Amino acid sequence: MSQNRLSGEGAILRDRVVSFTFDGKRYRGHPGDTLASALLAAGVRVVGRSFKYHRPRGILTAGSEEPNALVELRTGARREPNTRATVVELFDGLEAHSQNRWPSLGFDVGAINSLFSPVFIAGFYYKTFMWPAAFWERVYEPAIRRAAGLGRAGIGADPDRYEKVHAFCDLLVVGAGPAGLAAALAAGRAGARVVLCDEDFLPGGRLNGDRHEIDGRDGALWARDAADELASLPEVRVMTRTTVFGAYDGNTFGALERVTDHLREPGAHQPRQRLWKIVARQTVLASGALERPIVFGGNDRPGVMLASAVRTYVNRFRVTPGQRTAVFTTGDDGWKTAFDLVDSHVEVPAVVDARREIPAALENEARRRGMRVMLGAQVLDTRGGRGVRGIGVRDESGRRIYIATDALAMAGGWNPNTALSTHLGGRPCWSDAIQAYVPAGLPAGMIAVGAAAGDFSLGAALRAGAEAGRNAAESAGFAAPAERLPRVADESVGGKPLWLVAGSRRKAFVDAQHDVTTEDVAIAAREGFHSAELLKRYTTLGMGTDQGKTSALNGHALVATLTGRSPADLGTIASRPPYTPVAIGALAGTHRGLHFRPVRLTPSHGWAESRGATFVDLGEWRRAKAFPLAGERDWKRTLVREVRGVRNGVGVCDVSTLGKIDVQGSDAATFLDRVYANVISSLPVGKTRYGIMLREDGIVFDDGTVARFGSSHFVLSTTSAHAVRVLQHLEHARQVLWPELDVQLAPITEQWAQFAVAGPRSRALLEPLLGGAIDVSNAAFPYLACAQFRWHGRPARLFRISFSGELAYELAVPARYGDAAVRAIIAAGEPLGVVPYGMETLGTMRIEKGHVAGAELNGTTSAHDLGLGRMMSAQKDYIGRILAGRAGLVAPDRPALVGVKPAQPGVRLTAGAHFLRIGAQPSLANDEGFISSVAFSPTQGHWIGLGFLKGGPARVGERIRAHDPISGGEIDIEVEVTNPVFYDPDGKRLRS
Amino acid sequence: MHTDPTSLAQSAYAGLPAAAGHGSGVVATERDGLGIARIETRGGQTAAVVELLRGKLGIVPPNASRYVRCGDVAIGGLGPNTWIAVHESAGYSFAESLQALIGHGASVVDQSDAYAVLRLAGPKVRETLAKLVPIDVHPRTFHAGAIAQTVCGYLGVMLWRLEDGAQGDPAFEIWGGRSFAASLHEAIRHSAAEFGYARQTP
Repeated sequence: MSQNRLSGEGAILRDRVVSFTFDGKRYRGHPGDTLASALLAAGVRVVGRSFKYHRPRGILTAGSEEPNALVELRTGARREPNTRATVVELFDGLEAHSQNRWPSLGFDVGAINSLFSPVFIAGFYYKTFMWPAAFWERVYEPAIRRAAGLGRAGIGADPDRYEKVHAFCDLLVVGAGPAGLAAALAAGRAGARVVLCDEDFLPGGRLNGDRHEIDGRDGALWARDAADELASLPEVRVMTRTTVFGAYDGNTFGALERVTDHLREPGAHQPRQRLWKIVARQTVLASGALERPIVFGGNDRPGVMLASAVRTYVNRFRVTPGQRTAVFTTGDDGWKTAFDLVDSHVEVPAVVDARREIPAALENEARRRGMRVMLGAQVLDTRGGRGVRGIGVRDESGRRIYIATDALAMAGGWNPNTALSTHLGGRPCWSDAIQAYVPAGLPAGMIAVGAAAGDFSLGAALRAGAEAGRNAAESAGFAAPAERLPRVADESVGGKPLWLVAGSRRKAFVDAQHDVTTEDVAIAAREGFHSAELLKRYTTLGMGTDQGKTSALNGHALVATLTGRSPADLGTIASRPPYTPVAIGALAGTHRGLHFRPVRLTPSHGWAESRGATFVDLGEWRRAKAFPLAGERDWKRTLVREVRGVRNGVGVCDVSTLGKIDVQGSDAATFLDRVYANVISSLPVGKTRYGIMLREDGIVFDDGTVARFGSSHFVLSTTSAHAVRVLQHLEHARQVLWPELDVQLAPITEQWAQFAVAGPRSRALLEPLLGGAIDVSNAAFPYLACAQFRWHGRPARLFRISFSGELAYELAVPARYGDAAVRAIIAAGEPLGVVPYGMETLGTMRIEKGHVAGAELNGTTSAHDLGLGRMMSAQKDYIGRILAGRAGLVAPDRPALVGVKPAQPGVRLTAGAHFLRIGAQPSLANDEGFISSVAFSPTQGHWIGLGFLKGGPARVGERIRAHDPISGGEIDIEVEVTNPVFYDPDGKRLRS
Repeated sequence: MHTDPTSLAQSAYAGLPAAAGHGSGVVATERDGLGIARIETRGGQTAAVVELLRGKLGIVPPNASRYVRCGDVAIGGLGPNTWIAVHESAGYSFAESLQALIGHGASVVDQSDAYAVLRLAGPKVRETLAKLVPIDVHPRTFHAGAIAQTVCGYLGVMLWRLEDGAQGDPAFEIWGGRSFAASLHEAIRHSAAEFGYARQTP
């Protein structure tokens, strides 16, 4: 074990050991460690290679803002690229790999890019890959993607589950540091519903990383007690390992809870992560602040770390980044790091403060500890190979001094973490007092407190948090009396930022993740990219997985300095969701694979499965496609058998999917006359009529049947696809267009299971089945009859309608009896050779019969186009009548419905083929229409099709071509135009 | 003679897996055999129908998204002049007797088979519903007697808050379209699995 692990407890369980591997090498750590703290404890300094120059990189931070320490976690299908070692909770058996290096972390061929660094400057892509243009897709982009890029995603299907959850609260508190805990306590004690989220697995924020006293006790313990109390309050939900990543309209927030990321794999029924949608009346933004790095030569060398992160590692994890750790600070805060190191018996070779004067208290503290203090001094650069060995310092008098050290803590000041305040359009404003941006223009109901608001002292955080929590509770209607505030010591939080340390020839990094140096920023400034947004696009500063959390302000301040402005003049960029990366799996939730979307099953589904049916998804519905018999390998053989079975005998098909709407009321007939193009009011009770509905624009909307069960009671059927839209259309008509009509509508699709019993022997099947319940003879129940009756004491409906063109009935029973009904039909039909049939046979028979369906009712066809022009009543007004008369819709040369058959019988037709005259070039100008539906017709013995042809029915008998350039090679065949009704054109069979 | 098909009613949840996980955080009970009817009053007769139902059933049909129960019957508001009425056991005869009761004052349509209704009870029902519906089911906002028309796993559903159980455990009814029962049940079962889920047939 390396000597970097200090003695003492911190927040790790020292008496337990967990084992993990990094790049295949085994290490040990403790529960409570992060991967980063365990690697530091083990003396591992280089954890990754940089994006562009492949420079060795170490750990910069102790939080989610980490730009460098990105690793691949886990293996196989669970492999996750770009996880930040600084937030990965250590678990036994964890496997991590460094990324963006080849062949190894220690020796990386890509580091040669550093030698060409003058090439890889700002605007490199724009300047270099301009010519020849054709090279971009084929050569440049693939090469760049191989060389750059970060980790590799897992290839296999993710084996884990993800969930989405909704939460509602009076107060959402973002961040469980001192301000957030105080806010949650104040509101929670008052009885308000509170959700407190923190991305860390340990509540407390800086209280865990710093040494504070609250009411005379260790600050970390105060945080633990506060979290315990909150957990005991019934209306408070404390969510650790949860990042609030976005603020959205309607007081809605997105949060990602890493439920089992800290385990080797999720337990049974546990999700890996949960995506929370949180709706909060009020929000307290207690997201703290992010420390700024300082820009100087070699500031990216492993061993250079943010001073606050060093404190966190020392105090919380009991790890020091080096045996000797120097401190470079621009404010009072860095001194805390120096004192904590010394108090933990880590040698601090020097504290370099860029300021010439510091508070006397700090100076006294430093003297008491016997520290070497260098005021008015700056760290110019770092030395070393794959880690810091020493630093070059320029002292107050300008002398250059080399100081040997293993690590350097840098404290450049703090930026309030404003991210969530900007997602709805707020723009932070510059504060001269803290030399950073503070939240401004917050969304309604959101308030920032503590460090997130730029108040960096502990006392201010506790005060503002408690007040915000109290206010939120009171605005939600709870009495929240002011309570005594915890006692804390005053601390000094002064500082003066140092945007750039000049004087080193080494690369000074502004954005470590995207390898953007001071030189790149200077080029952008010289070339006129002066705004924050342009700077980002031109240099890529602030892009990547960390989105510039540690780099953006330094870059902006640098451009401001170089162009003689204040950062306030430059403005800052808008931060957009997500705050930290969110896995696609979490966004998909449970809707993947077979659960991608819900499926509607027909009442006979289980029976169809038991008959070995194949299925097809049509819209929401899963329907039986065919019922192949054992040994029927060829779909055509099954189709021919099913069609012949129906046409020569009897078949049964589940048609429950057709939309069914119950229409009642004294004005029901009037209403239906207005929504159908044909007349409905003349329909006698006990009869059914085919009807078409038009859209307002005159195009055919839907077709179906209307059955009249009483003078003011109708039942409509719609196509399966339009069931919901037809109901919406009717609701609009009765609620908005004609509220004065007495009409009641009820959707009853789900209520009834309905079966088509079709074929010349259908009557022979139904007679014994229905027994004396209803007389189905041709005299008593002729074509288009309908009736409601009782069957075995239950409601039932019978319609004599036909889609197949045969003598046919549709029998409806309550849905729960659908399964029993289809079994009874099959049993009754057994002596008659009844065949169950599916969508293939249904579709084929309707094409044989020339019935239009979805492919013809395609939203572009008029009733005339469909050969249904005669149905448009001239006796009444109805929706779509006026616009159906537009010149373009009644033009005689519009393509109209015809049938086609191949001139040579063995040839197959394809739907989508375009009609051309024989000899005409295939061009848009010569296009005469297209084939909409095709089928192999068992009754005709060849392929048949329906389509729309200019001139339409007048051209029956003509030979034309069907040209299809995209269905597997160019298909160009000669076809004969026919009547669209291929089968029983006189309709004798229907009425038999 | 052929089998009497009406003797073989199939529950909406027939054949679906009945449990997931360990424990009984959520216990589902199929609500089979209900009589369900949609009532929509005819022009201008709402007041008369309300008065009739108050007198005959002891229920004032609510003009809001909630329900009122009296004995075996509950009536819930669906929209203007429209209610859903439920009888614990009357089946298809319920709609007919309601129509007879109301006469020409309203159109009554049988919906007894249109819905797959599941009663969800147990200590973890709210945690489970939080994964399923995008509405607030906290007792402070969604009171006993409340109805919400919402979505669950991309499906339109109705959610009824029942009275809490004897142990103080919350109870709800979730109403989905019958044809979607398998998808809806899978969503519920998956969401409740971590708390322990079991479905009972009464």
